[in-house]
Amino acid sequence: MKKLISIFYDIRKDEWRSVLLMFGLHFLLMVILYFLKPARDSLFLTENGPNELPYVYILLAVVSIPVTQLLTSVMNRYSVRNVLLWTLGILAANILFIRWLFQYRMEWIFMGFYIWVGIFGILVISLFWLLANAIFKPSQSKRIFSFLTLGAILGAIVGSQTSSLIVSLLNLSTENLLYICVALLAGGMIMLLFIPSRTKETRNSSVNGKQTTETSTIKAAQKIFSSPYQLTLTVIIGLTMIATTFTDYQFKTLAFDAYPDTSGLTAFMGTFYAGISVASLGIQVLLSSQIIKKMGLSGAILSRPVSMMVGAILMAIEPVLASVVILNGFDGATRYSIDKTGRELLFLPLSQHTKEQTKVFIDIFVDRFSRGLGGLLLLGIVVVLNWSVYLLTFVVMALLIMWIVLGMRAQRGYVEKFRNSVQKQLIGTGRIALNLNEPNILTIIQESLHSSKDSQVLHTLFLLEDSKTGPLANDLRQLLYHPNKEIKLRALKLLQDVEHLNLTEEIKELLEDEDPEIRLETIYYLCRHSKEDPSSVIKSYLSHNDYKLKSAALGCASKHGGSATKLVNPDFFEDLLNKNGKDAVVIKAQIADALGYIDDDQLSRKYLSQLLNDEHHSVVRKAIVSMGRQQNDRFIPLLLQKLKDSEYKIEIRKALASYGGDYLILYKDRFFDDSLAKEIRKSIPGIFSHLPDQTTADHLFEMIDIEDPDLRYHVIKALNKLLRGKPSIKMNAEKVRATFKNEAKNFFELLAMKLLQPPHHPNEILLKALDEKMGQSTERIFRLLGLIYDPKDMYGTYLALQSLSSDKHSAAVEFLDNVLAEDDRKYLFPIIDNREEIEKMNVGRELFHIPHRRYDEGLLQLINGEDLWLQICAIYSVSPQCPANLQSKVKEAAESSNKLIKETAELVIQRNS
Amino acid sequence: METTIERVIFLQGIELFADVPSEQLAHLAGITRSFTADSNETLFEEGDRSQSMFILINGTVQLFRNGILRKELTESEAIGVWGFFDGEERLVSATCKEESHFLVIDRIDFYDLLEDRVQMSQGLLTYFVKHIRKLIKLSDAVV
Repeated sequence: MKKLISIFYDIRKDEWRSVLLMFGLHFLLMVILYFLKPARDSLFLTENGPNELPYVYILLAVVSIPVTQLLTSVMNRYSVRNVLLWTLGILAANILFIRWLFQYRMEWIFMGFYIWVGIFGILVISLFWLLANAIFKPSQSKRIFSFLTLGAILGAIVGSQTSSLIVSLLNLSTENLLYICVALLAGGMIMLLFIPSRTKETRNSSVNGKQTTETSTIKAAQKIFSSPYQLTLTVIIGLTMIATTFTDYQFKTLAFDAYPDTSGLTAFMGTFYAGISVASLGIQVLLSSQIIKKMGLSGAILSRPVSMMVGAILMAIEPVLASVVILNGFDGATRYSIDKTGRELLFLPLSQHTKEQTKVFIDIFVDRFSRGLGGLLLLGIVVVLNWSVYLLTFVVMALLIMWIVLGMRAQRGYVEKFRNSVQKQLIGTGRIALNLNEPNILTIIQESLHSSKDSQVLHTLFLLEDSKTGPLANDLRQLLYHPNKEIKLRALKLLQDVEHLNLTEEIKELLEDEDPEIRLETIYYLCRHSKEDPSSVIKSYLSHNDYKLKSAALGCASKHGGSATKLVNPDFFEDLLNKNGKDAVVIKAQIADALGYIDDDQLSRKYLSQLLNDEHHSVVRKAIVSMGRQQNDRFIPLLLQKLKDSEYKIEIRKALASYGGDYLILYKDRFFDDSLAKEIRKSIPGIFSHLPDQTTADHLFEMIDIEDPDLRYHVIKALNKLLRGKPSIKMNAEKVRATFKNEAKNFFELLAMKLLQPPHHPNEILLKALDEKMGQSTERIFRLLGLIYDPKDMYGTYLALQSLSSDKHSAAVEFLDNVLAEDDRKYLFPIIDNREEIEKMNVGRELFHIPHRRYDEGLLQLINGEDLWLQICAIYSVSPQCPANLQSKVKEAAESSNKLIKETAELVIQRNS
Repeated sequence: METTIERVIFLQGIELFADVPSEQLAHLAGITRSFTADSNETLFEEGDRSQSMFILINGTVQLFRNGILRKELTESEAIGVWGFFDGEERLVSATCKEESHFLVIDRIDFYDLLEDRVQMSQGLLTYFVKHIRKLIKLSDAVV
């Protein structure tokens, strides 16, 4: 049976119990409903007559208001499961009471029963779906809901077919069918008790007690009106009810015209409903899952209005019974199958609390209210305007168009809801220009600048970098005396642009400051704001006796004024470089900086090559920046070699990038050069990300073919950065998809290796390493997806998938299901799906034809592989029980030139002997 | 414990490094050195500047604050973690009750290593965030 179900539905190992019980419960509830419906119809029509039907519709709408009110308030106190359990119990007691009342055979009793069955239908089905939403995660719902809907269709068929059979076979009166319903309800209650719960489903009454007072139908309505998404869902449901009221009228009128005698009409109706049930079943079993899989949510929610539109067009061309049969046939066949599944899926992005607050209102009140409104409109159109059935078709078509448009809008809203939930992971860090002429903003900024917390002051100063700080001049002036040197420096830099306040005399005190950058910026301030000519100010400091001021002036001239060599003679550098003492490093750094501006090639080459290997980091950094400024070809090999020193790689990449795009081919060649150290090769793609244009991207797409996953990671990372810097760059989608597919294959190859390992010593380390490598492979996959889809979406989704929260994980999977192309989903979903690794692997083997290997073959492949860490872990995992080929491989590894491999192999030989 | 892989396996069991990828731990293992302290030997005194972290392999270490014994460590654990990261004074004195074996990581080597190892930083951040969460929960419980 499970195998048969698995052909059509993707139900996983640990889901069977809850799915089958929910399927059974849905089936049972529908059997009861379809037991009650014929009893209701026949009892009502024989006792009251069909003329009273319109009043029943209106009364049903009125009664639904207090029922909704009561239910929404109960929902906030108790779990859905408890509410459903109590509802079924109360309904069973109701049935017994109604059965007792039937003996009096009064008209109002049968009218009341009609309304009661109407409420029963929407109440239990709505609560059932709320429970399903609580039990299953969004990622499961898409697979499982269509199977649950099948339970309802089968229940409807069984209920409607067996009720008449039971009446005739057991010689029961219609009223006594109610006793069977009570027994079935009791069965449903027992079944409900066995359905496994999810943690989230259970409510804490003490916590929710607070919310009880807030909850009412009005609150639910307010909540719906405040959310455009929920409002769209509500309007769709309302439109659906109005449109189907009209088509139902068209159908019954034309059927009555074609079959005026009761027996002919009954036979026709019987055949029609039987056909609808079979078609509904066929759609649910054969098409529902496929449509959702191929077309996603839009396929599910638009199937019904689009197919009805086909019927309506036929009606507009030829208004005959056959056309309206097709119109209503499409409606009936999709209503309880794919449309029901789609509609339930639309509620997935809402939190369980929101669903409980509003779904009952929508399912019961909106549904019944719209039916009543549809009846009223129908009366207006048919009686007042005297329109024919044919003209009504155009009203139906207009309603269907509105339904389709709103359906598409709901689909967009659905994706947006999931996008928001995954993007909550991200925090924006963009800078803003503050309008300080706005008094409120000015006051807030002033307060922040006078905060006792240094971090707050610094953050505010950082925020002010892009703003006109004139109104804050006095506040910044006070910060020049702040004990924190970083605050002092930032305040001084911001004051450079303030023209209306001259602090030249006051600021000279800062020339004595310990911090070289503050001294440099002070000289710059004096040059800019002094009454004298800036060049004479700088010259005066360059010829100063104090070497600290001399070097600060040189730095200032270099940083802000262009070439400094015009102001000094060549001996000046030699003189300063040979200085000793505590300021020697600062002086050297300032010279390294100044060398970037001089136009004397020989001088810059001589000193920069020397300073590049200085023992002090600050000096080396300045030398690298200056090399980038000079753009002398002779510096390139030196800079590339220096990339080995990871602490300078950021500055070196920038410097190499400043040589321009013509040099990218050279860097690309070096990237593929096996003789170059891997540390250097890893850093090369980073150079490219500083030159965001199409040519750079094209070069990187050539580099992405590199075999080594670690090197490939850096190429992908560079492409990510490139795209972030310039989103207009076109990505080679074909190449990205090929690499993505390759990466997915790599993931499954690692997983295959992992599944071969026994979970005990000495293999634990290899298992962990393989897990980590699979994690890295997943990261590369999401980085690749970020090149062809919205990078923020992909990053947010990746973070959500890493989260421990299963809700975030489900939201991420659901979001990806809606935004990724089918082919991308095919390769990604087996990786991120929450299923057992062995099941994942089965999918992976099918997708990539990964062969089954023996343990020793797998280990041998890792030892012979490219990844050094996996090689080491695999060698370590060779136990004395391993076959001879592995033992000899370890002996071979003991002769390796790689120190880590050698020592590990020696350790294993010693351990195994 | 002479080889890198043995040290990696050992470091994986230390809570501080539990979230650091094993491949990164191999780099960390590369800067550790073995150290054996005699019985009654003091590893560091309260108020000393922190220069290194000790990871107990086996033995017994007693931690004193203001001369009062605060904790006795007998299982593998990192000692002197907080000072190691913030460079401030040691909060306790550590003395070996018996001959004890350690792996030692020097602060300067560690920061050099960390400079280019984002994944290692992520793993350490996870450890600290977990600790802060634990402290918040504890303080909530007290309140």
